[in-house]
Amino acid sequence: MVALISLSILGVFSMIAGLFNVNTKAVLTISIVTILGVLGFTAGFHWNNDYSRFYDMLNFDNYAVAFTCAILGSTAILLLFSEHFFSNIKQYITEYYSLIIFSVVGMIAMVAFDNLAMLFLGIEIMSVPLYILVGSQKKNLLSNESSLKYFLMGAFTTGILLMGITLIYGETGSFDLSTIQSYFQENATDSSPILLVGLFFLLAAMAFKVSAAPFHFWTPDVYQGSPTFITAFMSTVVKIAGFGAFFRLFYICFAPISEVWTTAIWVMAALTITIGSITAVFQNDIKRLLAYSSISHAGYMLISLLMVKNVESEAFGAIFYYVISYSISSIALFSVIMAVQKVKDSSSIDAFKGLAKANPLLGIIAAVSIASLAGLPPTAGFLAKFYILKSTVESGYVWLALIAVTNAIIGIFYYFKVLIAIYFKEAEDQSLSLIASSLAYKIVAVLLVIGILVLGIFPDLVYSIF
Amino acid sequence: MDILSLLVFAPLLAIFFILILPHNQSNFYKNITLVSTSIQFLLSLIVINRFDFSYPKIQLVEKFDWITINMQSLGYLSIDYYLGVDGLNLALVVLSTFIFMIGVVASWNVKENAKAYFCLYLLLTASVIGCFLALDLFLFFLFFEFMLLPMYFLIGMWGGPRREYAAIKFFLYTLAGSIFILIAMIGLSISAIEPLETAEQMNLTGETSADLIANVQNQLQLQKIPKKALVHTLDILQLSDKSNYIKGTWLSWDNETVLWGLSARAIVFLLLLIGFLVKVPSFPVHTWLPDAHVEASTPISVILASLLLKTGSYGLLRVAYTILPDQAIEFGWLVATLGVISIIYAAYNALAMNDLKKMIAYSSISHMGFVVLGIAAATAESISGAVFQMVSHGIISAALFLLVGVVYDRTHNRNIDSYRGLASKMPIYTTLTVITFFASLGLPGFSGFIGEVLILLGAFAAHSHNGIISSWFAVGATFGILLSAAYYLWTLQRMFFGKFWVKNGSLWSKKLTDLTFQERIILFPLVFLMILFGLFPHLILNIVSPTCALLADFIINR
Repeated sequence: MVALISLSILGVFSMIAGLFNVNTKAVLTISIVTILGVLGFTAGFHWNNDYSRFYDMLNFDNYAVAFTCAILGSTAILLLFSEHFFSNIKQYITEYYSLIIFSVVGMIAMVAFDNLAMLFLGIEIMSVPLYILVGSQKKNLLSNESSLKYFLMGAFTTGILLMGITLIYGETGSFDLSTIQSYFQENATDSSPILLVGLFFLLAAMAFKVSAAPFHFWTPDVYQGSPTFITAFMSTVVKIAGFGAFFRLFYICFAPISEVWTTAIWVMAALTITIGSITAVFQNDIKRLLAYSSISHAGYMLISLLMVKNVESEAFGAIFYYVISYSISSIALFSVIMAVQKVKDSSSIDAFKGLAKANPLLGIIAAVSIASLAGLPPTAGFLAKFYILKSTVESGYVWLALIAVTNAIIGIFYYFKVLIAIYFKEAEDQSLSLIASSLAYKIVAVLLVIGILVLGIFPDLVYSIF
Repeated sequence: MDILSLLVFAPLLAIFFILILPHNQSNFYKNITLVSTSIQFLLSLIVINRFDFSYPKIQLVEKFDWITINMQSLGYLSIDYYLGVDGLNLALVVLSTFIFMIGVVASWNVKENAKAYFCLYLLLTASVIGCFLALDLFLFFLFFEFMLLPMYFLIGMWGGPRREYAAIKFFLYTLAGSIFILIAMIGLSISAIEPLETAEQMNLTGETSADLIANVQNQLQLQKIPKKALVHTLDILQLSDKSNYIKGTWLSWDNETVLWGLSARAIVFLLLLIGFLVKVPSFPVHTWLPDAHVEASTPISVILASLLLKTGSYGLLRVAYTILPDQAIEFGWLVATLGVISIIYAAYNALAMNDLKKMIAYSSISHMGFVVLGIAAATAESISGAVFQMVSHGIISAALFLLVGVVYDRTHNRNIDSYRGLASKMPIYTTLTVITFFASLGLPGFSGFIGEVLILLGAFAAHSHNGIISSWFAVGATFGILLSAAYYLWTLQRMFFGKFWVKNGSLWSKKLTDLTFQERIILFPLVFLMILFGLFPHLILNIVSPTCALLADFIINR
């Protein structure tokens, strides 16, 4: 609750600050400090302390607290990394901050909702600022295109989401998750068509938000067209929130009728992983490549929904660990991309040629984060995949595990295309050696790399918190 | 931190020193690396000193709880940090520390990006030695897969013209293999328990730990243990114990479920087999090796041939054969067939090669085929022979690749038909080459002979000992020795004997000088060891054979 209020105030503050030409560095510092403060408060006071608000509209249980902290933490790190990006932008900087913070407010509602109405509100509060942020490079045609695409498809999805909620409400007579859940428990055997249609509308809407196949078509265009900082935001923080909500809705609320939707998730997960990784192989633009790779990762995270028959703490641990490892590795990689884009106005893989020689630190950050995304030990990404695969086999989905594993090998291939450019190719010009990073960036990036390795060696730090 | 952990992690300290040293001190990088690897070598000698040769089981154990996953109603998964030595790995550990030391001297002239080179080299040291020492499957896998990363960069950044292709091919092949191992590991992780930790969960106490283990295993077979208290394990030794498997799980010994005509245990065995054979490499998954060797620089080729390949065959023994002895008997024919095909097919390939390094790469595959055959036969002699052959091939192939490096460094050409009569120009070089070639083709008196003879003896006797394979496999393999004699002698004839002639005439003949001091100090010890172990094979066999006999016994009496 404190989180929602203080972040909303922060959002309003930074928006007004823009009007009065307050120093942007100061606004950034205040934002980061506030976000970290809120994170500390949430973790400190709400952990193991279930806490319901607004007539059970929001429920800050451990699950919500963990995801809230992940969202806030990733946002703070991203904002710390924003220097390279904002150094090229001259105006409306504080408005960026304010939109990002408003979006985060929506995400917190998304992971803490206990009522379908709140889910809808959360998704909208998150999405509307994103539509603006995606199109924030007004003079860039790609940015405009992606904003329009995202907006139109997002609006359409909102309609589907609402329709789904309505149908569920029509059948169960409630928006409240626990009421719906107990309705399912009582009537698990005879699920009416209305309910099923409603369920699959919700499934489609959530799949759109996390860009799972076959609702992933917007992702590459939007990721490529948006300003890189926003792409990073969308592929990490937004994804955490999307999966937080997806998981909360299906794993908790729809668990009693899991046999209805597990097959759908199975197929979607297999499709998502395969389409994502196979298409990624053919990309030459790194943002597009990461868009497809993020689709593929979404598939792995979808698999965790199949663990509905496993124990709660294991499933929570697996998805949360995956989300954390994916987002810190992606953030680290995006920070490198932003640094390179500062001197090169291109996001093609060729722009990264010879980076390791010109700037060894960035090379190492890229290597470790790519190793983690590709799932190589001893990084966090390896254990994340290991946990997911282990529980897949445990739940009896051996074929799905085989598909996932095959795609992990394909994954190596396209991730390593980037590494080859960074390490094995010669630079075409001298511009890469002009990258100058501040001390703060270096410290945070090194900490992130250490974090990826430490999480990979001591997974219990995150995995066993539930 | 005990001696084995020190052995594995000492290089990390050296990496730290290299990282803090500024660039203008780049000459010190190699010195630090040399000191670090020498310390490792000394440590491995201390390990031999502490090793009890008469005791065949795991010694000098270091075991800590590492990751514990609480699955609540499904029990726990306990992953340990578990290191130890026995006859299977001790000789290989000493070999690795020695070869790594040689490799540093061979890298003495690396100038380009020396900091990264030596850091990666040290990382490789840590992960190869860690792989040989790890006794928890998870830890083993971690080291096994981690070593790909430094190797990938070492091939890809300091290699020849097609290095990117070779590096990614190497990586994808071996990674695909590792993924098979990963699936097998996941299957194993849900099937067996660690009795002592389970007893702790059940609050059982016993007079001795042996009583306690027997008690728990007994209750497990009667299915009296609540699921909640089961502590699953990936400890290789526990996984090898039949009575630790939970009744009704996929990999329990009495599971009759059949998938695609195979039992679950058979599938897991085949997964592990493919995974390790990629690394060995054996036919039909060997094609990455010639490419990787041709593109890698000399020291990296040395490490690749003499150590990385051994992790594959070692893993086959340590993991697949130890955990699934029943399937090892069932599929002995398959393993042996692949081994024999590798021996002969690779030997024919070697015969056809004009690139000296490629020829040696194929000869490597051929000789590793003997190791695979020895493992397949699974008699006490043949397993001892396989481990002996691993060590001996480690020494010989290191020398072979160093010898190729000698001509390549001088002329940047490795084609056999570019040279004739080198003997008159480079006498010491020629002598060493002749000795190494003879050692490799298995002339009595050299270490290669002992390994191959033990393997062939074991394979001949297998049908009467344990009936796993017929003696025809050994007959086929003998043909491989003949072929290896053919390609080595033919190469000697073409390159070294006759009248001196080189392709680029006077330009090259000036460059083709005899061995430098640096080349001598790395080649002489290797040649010395070939002869030493050929004349006194018990130096290795004393370490190796008790454990191998135990393993052979275990496989028959499973």
